[in-house]
Amino acid sequence: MPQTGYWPQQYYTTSATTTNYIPANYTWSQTPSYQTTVSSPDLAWLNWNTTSTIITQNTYANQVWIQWNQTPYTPRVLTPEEVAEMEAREARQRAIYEERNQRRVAARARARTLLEDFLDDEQKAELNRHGRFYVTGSKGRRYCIRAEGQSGNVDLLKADGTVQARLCAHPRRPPGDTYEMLPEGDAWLMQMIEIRHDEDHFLRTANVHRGSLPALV
Amino acid sequence: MTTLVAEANKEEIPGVGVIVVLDHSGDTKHIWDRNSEAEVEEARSLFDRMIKRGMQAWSVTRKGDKDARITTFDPQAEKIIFSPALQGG
Repeated sequence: MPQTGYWPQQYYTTSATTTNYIPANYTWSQTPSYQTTVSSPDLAWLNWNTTSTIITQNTYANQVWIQWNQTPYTPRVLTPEEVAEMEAREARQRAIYEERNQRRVAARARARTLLEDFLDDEQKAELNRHGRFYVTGSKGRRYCIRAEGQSGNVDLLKADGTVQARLCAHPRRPPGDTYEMLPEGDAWLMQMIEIRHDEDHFLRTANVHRGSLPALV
Repeated sequence: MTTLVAEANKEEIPGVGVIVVLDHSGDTKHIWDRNSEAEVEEARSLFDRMIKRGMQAWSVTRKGDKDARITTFDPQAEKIIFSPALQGG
């Protein structure tokens, strides 16, 4: 039963909800005796959030909230030199981004040209019309290389042309000097060459995203 | 040996071999004259450096009838493509 003349103070612990009754004339400058020790920052955060929701009627919590909101926020005013430096830095970043973007576009175009040099007319037409081309492997199986990125873009086909397995095998990052992948056209070319040359090796290398592989000797 | 940075492929030229190195910029082509010993040696040296870097070499033709993975330099190859090895993704 709530006791008259007392403020209810309710808080949660990990095991139970506890209700303390704090005398109405309690002096808040004293160290509260109901403080709990929490075992981890996560619990402290949980406790704080839960408690602050539950005890919004509590004078102490109100004071914290009011004080929190009334604390004036004064953003630091940048000096003209700092503003100029910041703008120059942003301009440099934009220039780097633009240059990198242009290089990527050019690299993609070159890779596409190189790929098309290795495709016959039918493959080229299929690629331009439908964004894919078909390759016959060294053991006679048929594959569809889809021009959609370089991960999971190779389909092993059944005799009726439906997909038997969706495969993922792409060139590693070039060793040494870069963190970037090969342009997609180059990756498709290497997938095609590996399939044409040694499709069993390709199948052993690839991860199967869907379907299943045939038995490999 | 001539290096063509990222130039579109041309028709095969008799007596000329091409090493194509794939990288993030697209490709770099190195052309050598099969009849020039100096150029053949330079191409061989490039080939060995690429193999040391961990790149895979493919001797290829446009039609794909002579595709082969190679580990030693073939001065008579029409076109050699260097690429990082495939990995499952």
